[in-house]
Amino acid sequence: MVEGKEPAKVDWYDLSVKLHRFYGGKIETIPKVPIRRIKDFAIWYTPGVAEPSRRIAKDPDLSFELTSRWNTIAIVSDGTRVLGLGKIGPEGAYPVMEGKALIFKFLGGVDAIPLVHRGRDPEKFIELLELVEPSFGGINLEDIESPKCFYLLEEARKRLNIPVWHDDQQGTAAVTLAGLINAFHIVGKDIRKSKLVIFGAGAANLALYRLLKLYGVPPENITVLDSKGVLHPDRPDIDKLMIKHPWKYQVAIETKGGGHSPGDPPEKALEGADALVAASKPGPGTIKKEWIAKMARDAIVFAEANPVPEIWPWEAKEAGARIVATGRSDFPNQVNNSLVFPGVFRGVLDVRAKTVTDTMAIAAAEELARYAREKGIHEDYIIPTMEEWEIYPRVAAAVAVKAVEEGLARKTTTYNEEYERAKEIIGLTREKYQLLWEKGLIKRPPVDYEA
Amino acid sequence: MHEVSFHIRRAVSGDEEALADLIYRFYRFNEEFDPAWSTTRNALEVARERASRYISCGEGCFALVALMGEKIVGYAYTEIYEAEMLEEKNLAVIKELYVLPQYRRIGIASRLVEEAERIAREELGVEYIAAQFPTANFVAEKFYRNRKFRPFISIYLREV
Repeated sequence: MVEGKEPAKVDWYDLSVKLHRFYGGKIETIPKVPIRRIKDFAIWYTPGVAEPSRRIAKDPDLSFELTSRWNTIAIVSDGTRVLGLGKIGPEGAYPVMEGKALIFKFLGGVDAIPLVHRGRDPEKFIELLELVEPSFGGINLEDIESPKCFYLLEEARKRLNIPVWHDDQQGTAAVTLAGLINAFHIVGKDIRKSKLVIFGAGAANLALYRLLKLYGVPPENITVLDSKGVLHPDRPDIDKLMIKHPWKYQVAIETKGGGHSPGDPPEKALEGADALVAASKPGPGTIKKEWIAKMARDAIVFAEANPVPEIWPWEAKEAGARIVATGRSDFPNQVNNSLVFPGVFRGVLDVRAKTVTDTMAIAAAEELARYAREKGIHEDYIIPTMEEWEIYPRVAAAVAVKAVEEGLARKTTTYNEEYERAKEIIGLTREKYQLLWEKGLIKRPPVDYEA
Repeated sequence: MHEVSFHIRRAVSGDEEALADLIYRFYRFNEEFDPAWSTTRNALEVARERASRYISCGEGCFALVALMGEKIVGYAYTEIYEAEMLEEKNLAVIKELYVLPQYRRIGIASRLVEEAERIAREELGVEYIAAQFPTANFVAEKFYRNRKFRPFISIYLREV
């Protein structure tokens, strides 16, 4: 249960620098084929390798079968919006991308390569993706400023023949949707007939709007607020949005402000709302208790800002919220995109998908929600936690089957087949790692925290 | 999107307030593309005067409004120019064109241009129609190019 105070802090920053220096980064490549003697190189390198090369040259799709491409993705960032640190540049973004690569491998069995670059111009960024496409089975875009990230995702999806995913959009939106599905289940309301308020119009929330619409929530039931207020066709800056931020513009036109006026303050927009999803600036106090008090009975509140949620969970509950989720692991109901992206990529890579669609993101969300319901949902358990290992192969299976259904997979599969395959790949990664750890081949940390 | 169909007619007395709002929005819109189009503080007041002028203009100009039900949702303002030395003496120039955001993408702007063209040709005997907008307004450029307009006059600007 949530305590009435903020938990004690560990000095993660200091510890992190010491350990990053000690290990010299976090990932490395290790061969996966037999190297018993030098002669084996004649298979893996010259002269033998010439034949796989010749065959791939004739049929480039064979690169998914004869090379590691099928399981390798790039984590691409220009370092323009890294965590909450802002525009810290590609080198500054590198530790984050490397951390993501670590999670990709550990939770999804996916080999991920950090690819940070200086291409600030969106066209150069897209060109880079097109140029490196032959090396990878997928692309994960990461920590890119808005609204550029929307353009990049749209364009890259059109121009590349491998899945392109922007985790800050689809990953966060999918896990939020999973939480919302179950939260509405608990309060006994139909999400498609409810009033939702989206507070903040950044990457995650605009992607959430897209997913909600696709999930069947009428746009008129959704009110989206940015720092200037309700997105509404009568907003004074509406034409400016059309030119500078067509994604916000589209929301304004489609939702018509969700029945609110352009000048309505947040407290007015929240009157009678069934759910609030905030992904805006860190709190506390960004969302006020008095606003939550105005929401409908059994209100659902997601306050996703990190490190401090827009409103503390206990404050939201005191104000009448029935279910509260945040982005933090030390509170119940953590909205964490790590629940989604490893499984999504496992699934799309295993069927050699040509793209990853928003409907696949919804399939991932529904699978996560289903898993939690099978375990038994309640106010403090609406989404699984990262420790529930089964979710990764389950998400993989749901996404892979959706890719096949949509005709976007190069290989066909069934739910059970992909579930078993994903479980094996992820399990093997963990076993290998465990062995290295137990044998002492991964050095013990010289400094540590109390587990 | 909108099931109610729209219709186009000439702006008449009584349209002033709605027309002024659209004129004001048109200038604010173009301001986004070029700072030289920055509007004055009293732009809304000026727009009201213009609206009255557009409604009562004689042979040299005409204003059209698009209505969705009773609501005015778009307008086009056209002026006729004479160039005596040129063979094609008369030229109709669409000087302003604007549709409210929530009523876009349903063909209202196209119909306003078609109607301006029809009036220019049939009622005013004009053989060419042109459109004027800030060079940086790529939305307008795309719109007119898609409707077979081509670059005609270039106006270059610098501060003095």
